[in-house]
Amino acid sequence: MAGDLIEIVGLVKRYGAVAALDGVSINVRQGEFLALLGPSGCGKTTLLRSIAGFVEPTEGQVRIGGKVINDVPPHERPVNTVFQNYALFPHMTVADNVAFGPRRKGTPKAEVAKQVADVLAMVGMDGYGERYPRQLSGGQQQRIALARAIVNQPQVLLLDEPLGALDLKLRKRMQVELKRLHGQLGITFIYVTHDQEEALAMADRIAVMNQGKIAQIGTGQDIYRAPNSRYVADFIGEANLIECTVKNGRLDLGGVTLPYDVAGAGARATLMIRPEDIHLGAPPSDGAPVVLKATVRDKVFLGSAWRVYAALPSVQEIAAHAASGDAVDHVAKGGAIELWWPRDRGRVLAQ
Amino acid sequence: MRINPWSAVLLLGVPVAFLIIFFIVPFGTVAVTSFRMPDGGWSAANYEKIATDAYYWGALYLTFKIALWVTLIVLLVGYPLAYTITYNVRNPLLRRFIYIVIVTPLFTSSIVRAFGWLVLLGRKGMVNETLMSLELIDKPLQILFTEGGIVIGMAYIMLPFMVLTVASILQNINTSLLEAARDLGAHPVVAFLKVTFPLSLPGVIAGSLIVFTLSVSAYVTPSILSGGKKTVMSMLIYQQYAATLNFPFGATLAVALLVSTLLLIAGYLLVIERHAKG
Amino acid sequence: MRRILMLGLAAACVALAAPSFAQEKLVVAIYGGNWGAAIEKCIFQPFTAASGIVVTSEPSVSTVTRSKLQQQKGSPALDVVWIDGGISELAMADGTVGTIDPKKIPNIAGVIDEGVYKRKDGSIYAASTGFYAVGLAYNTKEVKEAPTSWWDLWKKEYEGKVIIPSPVNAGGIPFFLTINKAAGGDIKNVQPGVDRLKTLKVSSYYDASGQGASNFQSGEAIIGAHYATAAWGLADQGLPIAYAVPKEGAPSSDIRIHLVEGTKKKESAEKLINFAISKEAATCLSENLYVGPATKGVTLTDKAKARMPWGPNGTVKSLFLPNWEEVNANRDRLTEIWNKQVAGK
Repeated sequence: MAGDLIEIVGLVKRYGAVAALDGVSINVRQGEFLALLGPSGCGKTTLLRSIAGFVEPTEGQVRIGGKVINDVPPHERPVNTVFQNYALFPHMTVADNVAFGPRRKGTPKAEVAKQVADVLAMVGMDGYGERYPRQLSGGQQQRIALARAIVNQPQVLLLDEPLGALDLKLRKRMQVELKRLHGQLGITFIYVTHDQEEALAMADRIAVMNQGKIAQIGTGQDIYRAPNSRYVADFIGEANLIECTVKNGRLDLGGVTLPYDVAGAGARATLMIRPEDIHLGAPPSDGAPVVLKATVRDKVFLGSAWRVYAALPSVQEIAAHAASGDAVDHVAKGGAIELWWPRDRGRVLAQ
Repeated sequence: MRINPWSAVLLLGVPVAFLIIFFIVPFGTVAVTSFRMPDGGWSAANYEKIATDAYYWGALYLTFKIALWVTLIVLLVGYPLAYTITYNVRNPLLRRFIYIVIVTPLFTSSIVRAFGWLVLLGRKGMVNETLMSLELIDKPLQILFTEGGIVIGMAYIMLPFMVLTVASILQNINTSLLEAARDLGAHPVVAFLKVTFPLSLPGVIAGSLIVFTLSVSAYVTPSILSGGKKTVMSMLIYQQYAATLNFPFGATLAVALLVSTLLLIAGYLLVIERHAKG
Repeated sequence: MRRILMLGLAAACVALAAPSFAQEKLVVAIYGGNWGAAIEKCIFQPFTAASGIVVTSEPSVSTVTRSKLQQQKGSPALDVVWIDGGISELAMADGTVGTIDPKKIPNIAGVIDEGVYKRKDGSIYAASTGFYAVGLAYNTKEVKEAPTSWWDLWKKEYEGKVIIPSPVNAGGIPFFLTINKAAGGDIKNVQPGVDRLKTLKVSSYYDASGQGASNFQSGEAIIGAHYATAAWGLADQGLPIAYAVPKEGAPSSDIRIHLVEGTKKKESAEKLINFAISKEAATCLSENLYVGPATKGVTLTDKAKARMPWGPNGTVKSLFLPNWEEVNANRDRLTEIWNKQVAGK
């Protein structure tokens, strides 16, 4: 799309016979928060490093603001990176770390000092300028790494699993702060993570990557509700993936016909339903729900809800996330139940 | 972690015993010997002789001057070499091969290597022959039996110590620090000056201390490559022990060399510490 | 310094570890290099073949051998030692060498007077197994006219291509004294020698004989004061090197054999010494090392005869044998003078 800040076109990076990136094309809008999500080895970090300039693509182009930057060295690119291990210079104070970028641009001394003070205040680290990185906690180092990058006012901020080393509580808090900072600065963020919850919580759009390719790109909701493959469905959130056959153009689960039309008779197909979409008890009369009989295998109390594992007629297991209530509370292990879901919450995935 | 007292005794005892047997006792013997007089009495006359005779000050000065030059040259050659091996040689097999090539000379006797330099640097040696055939010079250069010749021969011997010390530090510098510097707008040269080099300073300091002290105490190389025309302390000491058989005076020279070397090193470390703080 | 001490310590350990239980086994200190090789070939091998007594050699230079004897005094690990003239006198003064008894070592009667070394009380403490000298070694291709005098070293055309021994070398001080004497000085006044040597434009001063030889080999030096043995050794390798006896005299010394005081294998040791000074052993050493035989009645090949340290027509009488006691008493002073005024000029 013309006018997008970043355009990545047909990017390939091969290491010998192995393709770390295998034809990635993606556009990122000005001011967008894009998450690159995938398991380790999917190519998300290689993609980030190609934008930063540390990886030289084998094929394809990286454009920023319409300009091809394949041959621009890292230090001349309008991007900055927050590294996974923070990569703070251990021999410099916090202030010197943050001032590193501005000084390279030849910013006047007084101006540098002001910028450093401002950005430290912005990340809540004012007063820490004279300390050395080793004297800071992981979360504090994280903030300094962030400050060191954004002080340069880059067009794009690249974040490589920046919260990976923090404990859960701190991670949650930093997620909120990062999101807030993104709103304040108006900079484009490209955020690499393997944590789907993090991606969902923060990103405007998520690009799910698999084996060097973009498996699906869209908003969190799009991807969660309408994954385009088993891989994406499985990676984002929890999903029941029910293996079905196709009979007479419809899904068939162990002899029970399900109300989903599928082209290509005799083939196999997968039906995806999120656990929270499955309800227990009598189905409503309207809305044409899909209803199945099942046997309870296990029941786990989660506090706000129950997690019920039930066996379907085809002996497949299905997990349901049911809010506490009469129907669930009294169901016993081994008992027969009826479960249902609104038809449109089920999704047929290609193999 | 609690340590069994017996294992503590063993852990500490072995190195301490080693230190006592192989350093303190021999050095103590030397130190005691240095006060012995030919008539069997005791006196500090030998020290007085060294302190008041400009010749020995000159020898001490020459020893340190040569050791400093060797350290400087080895640093200037060894650092880029260590840097290249660490960052530019990607193939691990090739890297191992280069390390072996660098270390191999250490397995050769320094006598053999010094004689090798006699052949290379001589009037009719390869260096002069090459320069002459290139018509860069019309008369052989006198390299052998000069301070320069000693420095060249010693620098070659000391190179592995610097390369290995610096490379081991460089290897431990996280490459993402360099990337961070580049990312923040630093040209590769600036990234080196601001990040890699300061972080490799411990290796530079350790390497230069090793090379300097080894150069100060080296005997074989300077004695062969000086051709007896330049006299460093180790040669004077050897002369006293092997030729004039004046052990007390040899011991005095040895103690003087050791003490002045320690003083220099202490000064060097003090300057570095001040600088690091300031 | 530390290295030297460590070496001594290590040597002592090796010496202590050497087996002393095997009766018919002698431990003998000899020289390294071709000198040691010749002693093994000319003396040890035929001796062992004839007597069945095994000889283990321990190579070291004379000063180190003397130090070993000092350290081992009382319970020596060495049984017989070769030590050069000069150091031999010091070992005798140390009391570490025993007495050669003509009754047990009858061959001593066949050794020339100059090769039998006696204490003040007349007892014999050392026997020579060959004389060597420092004379004029030169490259026959570069030096057109064979040198005849020490002063030939000062010729303009040899400037920067001359080598002479340093005081660390056993021949260094004797050479210094020879030049001094030729210049009109004596041991109390070495200024005439120093003044001459100051003006000599040398390529280098060598500590070890091998260093000197290597300088001739590489062409770094074309003339110099060097050992006849080394010069003829180079000639035997096919190099254009020859040796001449200067008319002012060639400072000489000898390789001497000693019985170690307190050896537990005295009888075997005496047998070895008796063999080492025999005519056949002396002949073999002279043919191999071109040392002047100290044993009477040795007949040499023409080649060896021409290469004797005293020259083709000389005898032991033409050698300049230093007064070692005097030299030893002045080593310190002479070395310091050399260091400051000759090497450091």
